[in-house]
Amino acid sequence: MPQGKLCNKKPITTEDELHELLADKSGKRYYEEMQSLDVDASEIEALFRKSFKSRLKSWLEICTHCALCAESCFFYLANHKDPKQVPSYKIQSTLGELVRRKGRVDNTFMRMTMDTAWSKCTCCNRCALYCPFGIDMGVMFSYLRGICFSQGFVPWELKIGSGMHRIYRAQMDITTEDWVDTCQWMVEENEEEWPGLEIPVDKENADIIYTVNARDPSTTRKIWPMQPFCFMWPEKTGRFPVWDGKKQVWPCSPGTGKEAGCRLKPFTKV
Amino acid sequence: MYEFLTGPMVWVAFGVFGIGLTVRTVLYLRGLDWKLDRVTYSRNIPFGIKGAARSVFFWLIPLGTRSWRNNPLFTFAVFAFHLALIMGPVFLEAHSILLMERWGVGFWSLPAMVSDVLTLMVMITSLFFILRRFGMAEVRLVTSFYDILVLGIAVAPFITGFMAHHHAGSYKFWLYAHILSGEVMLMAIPFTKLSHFLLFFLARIQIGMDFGIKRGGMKSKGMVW
Repeated sequence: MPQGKLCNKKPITTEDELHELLADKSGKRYYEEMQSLDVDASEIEALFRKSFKSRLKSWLEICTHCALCAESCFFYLANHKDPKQVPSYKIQSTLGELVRRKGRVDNTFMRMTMDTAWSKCTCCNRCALYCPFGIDMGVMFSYLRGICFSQGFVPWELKIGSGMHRIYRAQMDITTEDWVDTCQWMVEENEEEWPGLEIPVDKENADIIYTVNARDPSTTRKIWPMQPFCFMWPEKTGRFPVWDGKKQVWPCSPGTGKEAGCRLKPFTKV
Repeated sequence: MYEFLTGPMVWVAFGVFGIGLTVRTVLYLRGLDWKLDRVTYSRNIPFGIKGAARSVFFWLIPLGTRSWRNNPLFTFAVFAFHLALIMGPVFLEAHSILLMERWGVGFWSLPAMVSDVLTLMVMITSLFFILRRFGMAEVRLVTSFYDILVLGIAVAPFITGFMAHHHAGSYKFWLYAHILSGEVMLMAIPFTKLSHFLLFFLARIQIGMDFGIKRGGMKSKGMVW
């Protein structure tokens, strides 16, 4: 099967496509389609010609297979020093093979590569620090992810996530208007309890930028507004609020800066 | 046979070695691209140079980096191997005599005993590497026949040279084997991972620049690229 309805090479660019993909619970149909997704070797080869240059090429070639990178990788360490988690092994068996075979690989190989690239590497680049040549498997996996993506072999959640970013410019479906509106009615809702509450938007020459994870205005509207209150509280009460994770805010005297910091530390469970 | 091995073959071997490494260097430098690598090489030169120098320097000292320190025995073997590999042939009396006979230029050389020790060091550390490859699970999985072959190519000149020097068995055989294996090694360098002879420096300079410019080296200086 060349391209599936949900699982294909085309990135998500419209809301309809996004909702269709989201509706496929846990990506059941998506992964079924992926089992028979075709691999376009000539496309991969073309990608290599354009972007696989000195640095990546040399890294794959001069690896002496010394496995010094092993102890740098927390996947290796956390998996009881499983040899299959050695960064060199992971990259040589995926990108290395892909390069050697010039993209002429099958569906099974691409699914294994996708699995390795996304669940066996976080691209933390620690291996680059431990390798005598500075070979950076994190960078190579990042590159490999791009190749997998171009062929449609990307985890369901991440196809959604990248689609979200493309459409909403955040990892969740909160538009700029949604965000500003939410700020406004948060203020309106709580103005009685907190007179003078303000969430200024686009304020010039501000000292602090307040940003939230898109998830907050989207799903945790009840507790989220507590955060902006922290900024206005010291002005009103001369005290610094502390959040203990149980929806209770405990004021405490700031004392000296260092003292306050130490006292705040155990309580900041936001 | 002797004339061929010590005549045209030498020229071919050194020619392939020299031209091969030059070509590799040029190709490497041409294949660097600040947009692909995401390192602004030509824009932040001082930081790049500093990063590159640090990178090469600390990795050329035994126990200079954390990775070396975590594996002290392996580090010692690696440094001993490479030191002996380079110093041995370059400062060998027999080679110096050859040069003197050919081109009238001698080269300072080590006492015979020291050369012997260096040669044995290459052989012993190579044995250690082979044992390590099969003894440690994480190394065994990434090891292939290619790694053993390349190590064999590198060590063969030392074994054969040692045998020839000590007139063990047939001198002629070991001598020819030594010359041929030396030439094979020289020719293999540009085409195999033995190219790390040069690429170690290029790769380390590149990653050193990367870290010096992009990954923290310019932390305190305005926009971090």
